[in-house]
Amino acid sequence: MRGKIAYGIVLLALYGSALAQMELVGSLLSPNVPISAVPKELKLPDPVLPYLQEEFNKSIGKDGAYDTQFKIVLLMTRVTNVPTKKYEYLERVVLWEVNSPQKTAQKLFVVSPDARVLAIQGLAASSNKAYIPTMLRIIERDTATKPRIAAAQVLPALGDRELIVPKLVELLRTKYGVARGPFKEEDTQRFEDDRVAEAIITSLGELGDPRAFPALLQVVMSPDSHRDDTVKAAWNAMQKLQW
Amino acid sequence: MKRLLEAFIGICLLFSYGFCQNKERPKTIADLRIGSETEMETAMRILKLKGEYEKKRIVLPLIEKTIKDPTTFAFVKDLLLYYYQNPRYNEEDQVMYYDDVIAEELLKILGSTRSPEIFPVMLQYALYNKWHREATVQTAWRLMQSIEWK
Repeated sequence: MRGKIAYGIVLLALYGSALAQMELVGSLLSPNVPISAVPKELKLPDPVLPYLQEEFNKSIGKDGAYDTQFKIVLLMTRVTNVPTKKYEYLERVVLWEVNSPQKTAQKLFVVSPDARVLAIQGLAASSNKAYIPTMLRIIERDTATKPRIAAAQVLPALGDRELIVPKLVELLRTKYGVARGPFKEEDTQRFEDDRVAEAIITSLGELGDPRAFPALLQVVMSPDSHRDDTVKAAWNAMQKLQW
Repeated sequence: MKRLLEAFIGICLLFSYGFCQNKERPKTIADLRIGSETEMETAMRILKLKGEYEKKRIVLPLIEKTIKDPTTFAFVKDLLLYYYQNPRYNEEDQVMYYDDVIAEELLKILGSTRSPEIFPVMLQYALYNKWHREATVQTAWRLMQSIEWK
């Protein structure tokens, strides 16, 4: 009996630690990304960054590149010295598809979207306003859904409403808004874009800036242009605005 | 009588053939040397071969003893990066498997220096985990952690 209880406790502890680790890197990541490959206690200094960048460049277009790229970005986030240049390297990864949208015959993206999500979260950890334009650029220009959602999610953590709100409102009205006409569930691109719209709306709610009200109102007033979840998110965001 | 003589000669031939087959296995680097090679040259030649696990085991202590020498250090790095990285690695292939066992031993020898210069090698082995045994990959991660950064 005692053995069974102990076994149960061990299982629960293992499940808990796995869950905590997943939460740490966000729920956006694919379930099979090799998080456990890199030892948790590994800490690296700045001099490793050029090597990591070199390996990252070499991985582009190769078989199994996504796993390798994810591990490289995970290693970049493990650079612990202060000050560090790791954010410059992470920014390069984040903007890779936007700056050089090369496509291979086999894959739609040359850089793993999961690796970019991780890099976005790494950049957000800097709490540096300088990366706000980078995030906005991702939301506007990137073609993969996950990095766009991640970029929208981390914006409130970077602060500066003056830089963020006007641009998000503009994107919500144009690229992700009513301007695109009625929403069709079977239109995959539109569906993915609307998931990004939902993330933008949630961030606007977290920022609580009343300037977002007209754009949010437009979303709730035109339910045919969005998914139900997006409209609900707009109602919730409106409640959070700080008048 | 003639038959008996023929049988005796036959048995003698069989014995001598068997004796040739049971030639002693090499035990030291000297047994592996070709011509006027130095011990290090022999070790370098053997370690570049595919397979030959037993011979490689013989030369490893010499590598371990001289790893702090810049030439040996550079040679081991080169070996690990260009001779023991195997994109076609298959656990069931005995030659590949035992070559990877040697790769792990070489990693350990290189890792014993704890020099930052070994990072690219450890990184390669840690990142491309499908090219190696699990034990080799884990060794690479462990040795990466043990590097003494200045």
